[in-house]
Amino acid sequence: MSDKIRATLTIQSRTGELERARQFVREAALKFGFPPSEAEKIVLATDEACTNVICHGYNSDPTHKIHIAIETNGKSFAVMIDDEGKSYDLRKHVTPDMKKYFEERHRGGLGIKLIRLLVDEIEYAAHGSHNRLTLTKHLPNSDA
Amino acid sequence: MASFSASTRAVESVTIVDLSGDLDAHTSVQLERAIQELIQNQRYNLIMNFSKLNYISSAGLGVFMAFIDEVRSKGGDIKFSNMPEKIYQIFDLLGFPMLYEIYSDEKEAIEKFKASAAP
Repeated sequence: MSDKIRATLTIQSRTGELERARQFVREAALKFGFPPSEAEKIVLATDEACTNVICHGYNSDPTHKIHIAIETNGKSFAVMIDDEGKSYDLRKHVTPDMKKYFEERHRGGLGIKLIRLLVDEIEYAAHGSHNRLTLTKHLPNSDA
Repeated sequence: MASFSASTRAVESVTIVDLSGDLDAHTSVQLERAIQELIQNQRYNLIMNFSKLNYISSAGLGVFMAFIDEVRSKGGDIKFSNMPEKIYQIFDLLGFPMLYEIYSDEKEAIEKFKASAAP
Protein backbone atom coordinates (compact mmCIF):
# COMPACT_ATOMS: atom_id res chain seq x y z
CA MET A 1 0.00 0.00 0.00
CA SER A 2 1.23 3.45 -0.85
CA ASP A 3 1.92 6.08 1.76
CA LYS A 4 -0.60 8.33 -0.01
CA ILE A 5 -3.44 6.40 1.53
CA ARG A 6 -5.17 8.57 4.06
CA ALA A 7 -7.79 6.27 5.46
CA THR A 8 -9.04 2.71 5.29
CA LEU A 9 -12.17 0.90 6.37
CA THR A 10 -13.10 -2.77 6.27
CA ILE A 11 -16.74 -3.79 6.16
CA GLN A 12 -18.50 -7.15 6.17
CA SER A 13 -20.19 -8.19 2.93
CA ARG A 14 -23.74 -7.36 3.97
CA THR A 15 -25.97 -4.47 3.01
CA GLY A 16 -26.36 -3.38 6.64
CA GLU A 17 -22.74 -2.19 6.40
CA LEU A 18 -23.37 0.22 3.52
CA GLU A 19 -24.21 3.12 5.82
CA ARG A 20 -20.82 2.80 7.51
CA ALA A 21 -19.09 2.81 4.12
CA ARG A 22 -21.03 5.92 3.06
CA GLN A 23 -20.27 7.77 6.25
CA PHE A 24 -16.57 6.94 5.91
CA VAL A 25 -16.38 8.26 2.33
CA ARG A 26 -18.64 11.25 3.05
CA GLU A 27 -16.50 12.48 5.92
CA ALA A 28 -13.29 12.09 3.94
CA ALA A 29 -14.73 13.75 0.82
CA LEU A 30 -15.99 16.76 2.77
CA LYS A 31 -12.71 17.06 4.62
CA PHE A 32 -10.89 16.87 1.29
CA GLY A 33 -12.79 19.91 0.07
CA PHE A 34 -15.67 18.68 -2.06
CA PRO A 35 -18.85 20.71 -1.70
CA PRO A 36 -21.62 18.53 -0.20
CA SER A 37 -23.33 17.89 -3.56
CA GLU A 38 -20.07 16.62 -5.11
CA ALA A 39 -19.20 14.60 -2.01
CA GLU A 40 -22.54 12.82 -2.32
CA LYS A 41 -21.64 11.71 -5.86
CA ILE A 42 -18.57 9.77 -4.75
CA VAL A 43 -20.53 8.50 -1.73
CA LEU A 44 -23.29 7.11 -3.97
CA ALA A 45 -20.79 5.63 -6.45
CA THR A 46 -19.04 3.84 -3.57
CA ASP A 47 -22.37 2.55 -2.24
CA GLU A 48 -23.32 1.19 -5.67
CA ALA A 49 -19.94 -0.49 -6.11
CA CYS A 50 -20.07 -2.09 -2.63
CA THR A 51 -23.66 -3.20 -3.23
CA ASN A 52 -22.53 -4.95 -6.43
CA VAL A 53 -19.70 -6.69 -4.60
CA ILE A 54 -22.05 -7.82 -1.80
CA CYS A 55 -24.91 -8.98 -4.03
CA HIS A 56 -23.03 -10.30 -7.07
CA GLY A 57 -19.34 -10.66 -6.18
CA TYR A 58 -20.08 -12.45 -2.91
CA ASN A 59 -23.58 -13.62 -3.89
CA SER A 60 -25.04 -12.09 -0.69
CA ASP A 61 -22.84 -14.27 1.53
CA PRO A 62 -22.24 -12.02 4.57
CA THR A 63 -19.11 -13.78 5.82
CA HIS A 64 -16.66 -11.97 3.52
CA LYS A 65 -14.90 -8.64 3.77
CA ILE A 66 -14.63 -5.56 1.60
CA HIS A 67 -11.70 -3.20 2.09
CA ILE A 68 -12.17 0.46 1.25
CA ALA A 69 -9.23 2.82 1.02
CA ILE A 70 -9.12 6.51 0.21
CA GLU A 71 -6.13 8.07 -1.47
CA THR A 72 -5.77 11.71 -2.41
CA ASN A 73 -3.15 13.54 -4.41
CA GLY A 74 -4.18 17.12 -3.87
CA LYS A 75 -6.57 17.42 -6.78
CA SER A 76 -8.14 14.03 -7.03
CA PHE A 77 -9.88 11.81 -4.58
CA ALA A 78 -9.73 8.05 -5.17
CA VAL A 79 -11.75 5.34 -3.47
CA MET A 80 -10.29 1.86 -3.83
CA ILE A 81 -12.63 -1.05 -3.19
CA ASP A 82 -10.93 -4.42 -2.73
CA ASP A 83 -12.68 -7.75 -2.56
CA GLU A 84 -12.11 -11.41 -3.22
CA GLY A 85 -15.47 -12.26 -4.76
CA LYS A 86 -16.40 -13.12 -8.31
CA SER A 87 -14.58 -10.65 -10.53
CA TYR A 88 -16.53 -8.32 -12.78
CA ASP A 89 -15.06 -5.53 -14.84
CA LEU A 90 -17.83 -2.97 -14.78
CA ARG A 91 -16.07 -0.91 -17.44
CA LYS A 92 -17.19 -3.60 -19.90
CA HIS A 93 -20.79 -3.47 -18.73
CA VAL A 94 -23.25 -2.20 -21.34
CA THR A 95 -25.38 0.35 -19.52
CA PRO A 96 -29.01 0.71 -20.53
CA ASP A 97 -30.45 3.40 -22.73
CA MET A 98 -32.89 5.00 -20.29
CA LYS A 99 -35.72 5.56 -22.78
CA LYS A 100 -35.73 1.84 -23.58
CA TYR A 101 -35.20 1.00 -19.91
CA PHE A 102 -38.38 2.81 -18.92
CA GLU A 103 -40.36 1.49 -21.90
CA GLU A 104 -39.42 -2.06 -21.03
CA ARG A 105 -40.00 -1.46 -17.32
CA HIS A 106 -36.71 -2.86 -16.14
CA ARG A 107 -35.75 -2.86 -12.53
CA GLY A 108 -32.21 -2.90 -11.22
CA GLY A 109 -29.10 -2.64 -13.31
CA LEU A 110 -28.77 1.09 -12.72
CA GLY A 111 -25.92 0.93 -10.23
CA ILE A 112 -23.15 0.75 -12.82
CA LYS A 113 -24.80 3.45 -14.91
CA LEU A 114 -24.84 5.70 -11.86
CA ILE A 115 -21.20 4.99 -11.08
CA ARG A 116 -20.22 6.01 -14.61
CA LEU A 117 -22.25 9.19 -14.41
CA LEU A 118 -20.95 10.16 -10.98
CA VAL A 119 -17.19 9.70 -11.09
CA ASP A 120 -14.47 10.93 -13.46
CA GLU A 121 -12.36 7.76 -13.74
CA ILE A 122 -12.93 4.06 -13.22
CA GLU A 123 -10.09 1.56 -13.00
CA TYR A 124 -10.40 -2.15 -12.47
CA ALA A 125 -7.82 -4.84 -11.85
CA ALA A 126 -8.21 -8.50 -11.00
CA HIS A 127 -5.19 -10.48 -9.79
CA GLY A 128 -5.97 -14.07 -8.97
CA SER A 129 -8.83 -13.99 -6.48
CA HIS A 130 -8.30 -10.34 -5.65
CA ASN A 131 -10.26 -7.52 -7.32
CA ARG A 132 -9.67 -3.82 -7.02
CA LEU A 133 -12.04 -1.17 -8.30
CA THR A 134 -10.78 2.42 -8.14
CA LEU A 135 -13.23 5.29 -8.46
CA THR A 136 -11.67 8.72 -8.85
CA LYS A 137 -13.27 12.11 -8.68
CA HIS A 138 -11.52 15.41 -9.21
CA LEU A 139 -12.19 18.60 -7.37
CA PRO A 140 -14.48 20.91 -9.36
CA ASN A 141 -12.58 23.49 -11.45
CA SER A 142 -9.58 21.22 -11.43
CA ASP A 143 -7.74 20.31 -14.63
CA ALA A 144 -6.42 17.08 -13.13
CA MET B 1 -26.96 1.13 10.73
CA ALA B 2 -28.97 3.23 8.31
CA SER B 3 -32.30 4.36 9.63
CA PHE B 4 -35.20 4.37 7.27
CA SER B 5 -38.94 4.51 7.68
CA ALA B 6 -41.93 4.52 5.37
CA SER B 7 -45.10 5.57 7.16
CA THR B 8 -48.44 5.94 5.45
CA ARG B 9 -51.32 8.42 5.73
CA ALA B 10 -54.60 8.35 3.86
CA VAL B 11 -56.17 11.46 2.36
CA GLU B 12 -59.45 10.18 0.93
CA SER B 13 -58.55 7.84 -1.94
CA VAL B 14 -54.90 8.88 -1.92
CA THR B 15 -52.22 7.33 0.29
CA ILE B 16 -49.17 9.35 1.15
CA VAL B 17 -46.02 7.44 2.04
CA ASP B 18 -43.65 9.56 4.11
CA LEU B 19 -40.10 8.40 3.47
CA SER B 20 -37.38 9.28 5.90
CA GLY B 21 -33.73 8.41 6.40
CA ASP B 22 -31.56 6.47 3.96
CA LEU B 23 -33.06 4.31 1.21
CA ASP B 24 -30.40 1.84 0.08
CA ALA B 25 -29.95 -1.85 -0.76
CA HIS B 26 -30.49 -2.66 2.91
CA THR B 27 -33.58 -0.60 3.64
CA SER B 28 -35.32 -0.82 0.25
CA VAL B 29 -36.88 -4.13 1.37
CA GLN B 30 -38.92 -2.17 3.94
CA LEU B 31 -40.31 0.14 1.27
CA GLU B 32 -41.07 -2.82 -0.96
CA ARG B 33 -43.10 -4.41 1.85
CA ALA B 34 -44.93 -1.16 2.57
CA ILE B 35 -45.98 -0.68 -1.06
CA GLN B 36 -46.91 -4.35 -1.40
CA GLU B 37 -49.19 -4.01 1.62
CA LEU B 38 -50.85 -0.91 0.18
CA ILE B 39 -51.53 -2.73 -3.09
CA GLN B 40 -52.96 -5.69 -1.17
CA ASN B 41 -55.28 -3.24 0.55
CA GLN B 42 -56.28 -1.90 -2.87
CA ARG B 43 -54.64 1.46 -2.33
CA TYR B 44 -53.40 2.40 -5.78
CA ASN B 45 -53.16 6.20 -5.65
CA LEU B 46 -49.77 6.60 -4.04
CA ILE B 47 -47.69 9.67 -3.32
CA MET B 48 -44.14 9.25 -2.09
CA ASN B 49 -43.27 12.28 0.03
CA PHE B 50 -39.48 12.61 0.02
CA SER B 51 -39.19 15.63 2.32
CA LYS B 52 -37.37 13.68 5.05
CA LEU B 53 -35.45 11.33 2.81
CA ASN B 54 -31.76 11.91 3.19
CA TYR B 55 -30.33 9.47 0.67
CA ILE B 56 -31.32 7.18 -2.19
CA SER B 57 -29.36 4.59 -4.18
CA SER B 58 -30.38 2.57 -7.23
CA ALA B 59 -31.86 -0.14 -5.00
CA GLY B 60 -34.43 2.42 -3.85
CA LEU B 61 -35.15 3.52 -7.41
CA GLY B 62 -35.73 -0.11 -8.33
CA VAL B 63 -38.62 -0.37 -5.86
CA PHE B 64 -40.59 2.28 -7.75
CA MET B 65 -39.90 0.48 -11.03
CA ALA B 66 -41.12 -2.79 -9.52
CA PHE B 67 -44.63 -1.53 -8.78
CA ILE B 68 -45.40 1.16 -11.33
CA ASP B 69 -47.06 -1.12 -13.91
CA GLU B 70 -49.18 -2.96 -11.36
CA VAL B 71 -50.42 0.27 -9.79
CA ARG B 72 -51.16 1.89 -13.15
CA SER B 73 -52.97 -1.21 -14.39
CA LYS B 74 -55.38 -0.69 -11.48
CA GLY B 75 -56.00 2.90 -12.50
CA GLY B 76 -53.63 4.35 -9.92
CA ASP B 77 -50.17 5.86 -10.02
CA ILE B 78 -47.03 6.44 -7.99
CA LYS B 79 -46.31 10.16 -7.87
CA PHE B 80 -43.41 11.84 -6.12
CA SER B 81 -43.44 15.02 -4.06
CA ASN B 82 -41.32 17.28 -1.85
CA MET B 83 -37.99 16.04 -3.18
CA PRO B 84 -34.91 17.65 -1.69
CA GLU B 85 -32.63 18.93 -4.45
CA LYS B 86 -29.96 16.28 -3.85
CA ILE B 87 -32.51 13.49 -4.23
CA TYR B 88 -34.04 15.08 -7.33
CA GLN B 89 -30.61 15.23 -8.94
CA ILE B 90 -30.32 11.43 -8.84
CA PHE B 91 -33.79 10.93 -10.33
CA ASP B 92 -33.06 13.52 -12.98
CA LEU B 93 -29.62 12.10 -13.82
CA LEU B 94 -31.25 8.80 -14.78
CA GLY B 95 -34.25 10.32 -16.53
CA PHE B 96 -36.92 9.23 -14.04
CA PRO B 97 -39.06 12.29 -14.82
CA MET B 98 -39.80 10.50 -18.16
CA LEU B 99 -41.87 7.89 -16.34
CA TYR B 100 -42.95 9.52 -13.07
CA GLU B 101 -44.71 12.76 -12.18
CA ILE B 102 -42.76 14.82 -9.67
CA TYR B 103 -44.47 17.62 -7.71
CA SER B 104 -42.90 20.21 -5.48
CA ASP B 105 -45.71 19.84 -2.96
CA GLU B 106 -47.83 16.84 -2.00
CA LYS B 107 -51.00 18.94 -2.22
CA GLU B 108 -50.43 19.36 -5.95
CA ALA B 109 -50.05 15.62 -6.32
CA ILE B 110 -53.27 15.03 -4.36
CA GLU B 111 -55.09 17.51 -6.59
CA LYS B 112 -53.77 15.72 -9.65
CA PHE B 113 -55.21 12.42 -8.43
CA LYS B 114 -58.55 14.10 -7.68
CA ALA B 115 -58.63 15.73 -11.12
CA SER B 116 -57.95 12.43 -12.88
CA ALA B 117 -60.67 10.70 -10.84
CA ALA B 118 -63.27 13.36 -11.69
CA PRO B 119 -65.81 12.33 -14.36
